[in-house]
Amino acid sequence: MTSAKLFDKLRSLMEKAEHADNKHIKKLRKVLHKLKDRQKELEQNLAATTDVEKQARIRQEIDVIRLQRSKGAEVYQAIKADRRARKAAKAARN
Amino acid sequence: MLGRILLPSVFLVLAYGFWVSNSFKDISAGVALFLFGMLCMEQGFKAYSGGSLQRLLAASTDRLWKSLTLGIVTTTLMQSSSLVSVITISFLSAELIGLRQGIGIIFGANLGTTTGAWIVAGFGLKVKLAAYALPILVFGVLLLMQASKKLKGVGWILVGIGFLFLGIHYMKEGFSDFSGQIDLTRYAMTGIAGLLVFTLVGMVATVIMQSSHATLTLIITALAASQISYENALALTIGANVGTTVTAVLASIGANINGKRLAAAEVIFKVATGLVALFSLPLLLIAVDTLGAWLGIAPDNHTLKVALFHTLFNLLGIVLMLPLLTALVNRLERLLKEDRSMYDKPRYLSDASLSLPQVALHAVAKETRHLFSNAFTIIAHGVCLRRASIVSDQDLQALIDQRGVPMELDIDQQYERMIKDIYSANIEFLSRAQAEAGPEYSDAYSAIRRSNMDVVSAIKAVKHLRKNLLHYMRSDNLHIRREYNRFRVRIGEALRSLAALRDTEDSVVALLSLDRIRVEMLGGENEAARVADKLIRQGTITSQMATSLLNDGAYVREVIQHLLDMHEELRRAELPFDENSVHDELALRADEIANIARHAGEVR
Repeated sequence: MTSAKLFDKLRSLMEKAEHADNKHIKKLRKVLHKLKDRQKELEQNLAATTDVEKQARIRQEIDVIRLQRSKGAEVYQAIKADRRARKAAKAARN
Repeated sequence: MLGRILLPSVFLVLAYGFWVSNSFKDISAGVALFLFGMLCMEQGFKAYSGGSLQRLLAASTDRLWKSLTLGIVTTTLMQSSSLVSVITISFLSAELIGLRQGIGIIFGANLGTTTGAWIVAGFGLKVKLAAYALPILVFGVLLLMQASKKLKGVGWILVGIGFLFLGIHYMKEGFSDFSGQIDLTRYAMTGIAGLLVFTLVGMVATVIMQSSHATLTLIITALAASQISYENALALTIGANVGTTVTAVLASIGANINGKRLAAAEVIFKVATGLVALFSLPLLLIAVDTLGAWLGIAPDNHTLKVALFHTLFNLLGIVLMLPLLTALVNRLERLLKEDRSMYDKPRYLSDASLSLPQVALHAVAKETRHLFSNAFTIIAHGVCLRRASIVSDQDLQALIDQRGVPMELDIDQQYERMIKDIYSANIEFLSRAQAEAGPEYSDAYSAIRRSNMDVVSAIKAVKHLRKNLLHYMRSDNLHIRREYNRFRVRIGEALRSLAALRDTEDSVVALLSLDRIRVEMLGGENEAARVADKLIRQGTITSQMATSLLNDGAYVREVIQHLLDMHEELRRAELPFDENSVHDELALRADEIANIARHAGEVR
């Protein structure tokens, strides 16, 4: 195998990985967006209700969503940082 | 509608009958006791299902000749083919043996019962089983009071036999007015007319007396006293042999479909044998004379010849029917089908989808949702909540202080009707689909299999919970009542949350929502444990109540856990391969769930 062919194969593999990465990020963003909407909806409900029991349950759900969102945001930041690092490495190679 | 009119009408007719006739009262009581005896025996045999009796029966009936021998030996010992038929029907109803084995036993019983005529004709003995009814009942009830399941089983069987005998006794008493009128000498006839009339008389006499043994005793006594001719005695014997089927028919009323098939086989055997005997009577008479001479029976000893005739024509029936046994079993299974209109069936599974893994996966996932929907109703009713109350906005917390209203539910019956067929179909479909699909589908299929198993486990946990729940949710002790109502509310809320998830299209979001339900459930569990501790410390509930509360709390946790697992497995199976990781990244760990639940508990 010539070195050109080898580079082509490597590039196609990298593109595949990037494509999967993009799909992953897209799904992650979509889910985080939905969680954010749900949190907003719950916060509005919390402000509107006077029932203590209901308030407690809504707060509990908000706590769950907040923690899930923060975990998602961490993953999102990590993927972004990884991408930036890969881009920087690629630029350095060129 | 018909049921609403029929039952009161039957009650009215019976009440009128009881009022005008003592005989009618005795006969009805006899039938009722007989059927109750059947139920008791079935209950008793169930205690041995899967155990030693099943192994013994399986070993004694795994070959046709063994089934026949079992029938011959047991009937010879018990001297009642009716009783052996009834016991065989209850074996079948309890699914301890199959239809083929059952038919083998009753064929053998028909030969075994002919030994009775030999005993009467030879020794003039008569075994009166009815006299043992009351002592058997006493022994049975004593055994029922024992702790051992096996001894209780024997107790139920003895009580069943006792009631069977008592039932037969009352029926005989009731019919005594009529049987007094059965004077065989009045009907002496010759020729074909005599043959037919005496067959009919023998049949009617046996139906009335509920025992071919009794009729044969009557025949042999009358023959010995020369009140009837030898020819008429043979016809009476044929009639008695056919008439004895009434006991099996009566027993089949309370039996399942296999019991009914067995009773039908018994009727077919007896009627066919009777017809063959009638048509080949001259040949049979020659055979009786020849064989009688060979056995050393004097030519004028008609009583022993009747016994020999009885044995011969039953043997002839067995020889004729045995080659047709498989055809008979197939025909009975085809003709007598179980009424399954009350049974829910799978809706989405089709063999055509098996070769398309993605389609098969979708179909079985939909079927699992169908299964869950049925389980939803059983679980809701199991904790005495209406499905409509759970899916509405009704505040379930309001139930906590109220005295619960029990809902009638037979969980085993509902399981048979709404779960079993769908569950079995799902498991079979999954196995076949997994064999055809590639390894990439293996995880998804396994997840759906677990999901199905979770549904069934949740129902089983509700069954355990229900025993105490029905008692304590109505208790006068407010504290225990409140805790059991809290159990109901927790399960109701879990069901409500899971039902709400059905509208969530995004599987990752739906899976993440399970975390919220887990937090709520753990919070409820913590609160319940805290209150239980407090109640035990304060002594506001008895120690029995406390242990029930702790045990049943575990069942509640089991129900909810299985329901959550079921949804998680199902949603995971439906996720595209690359989306599972998004859920895993965002989902809360067990310690995070516990932290939020604890924090919420502290704030409250």
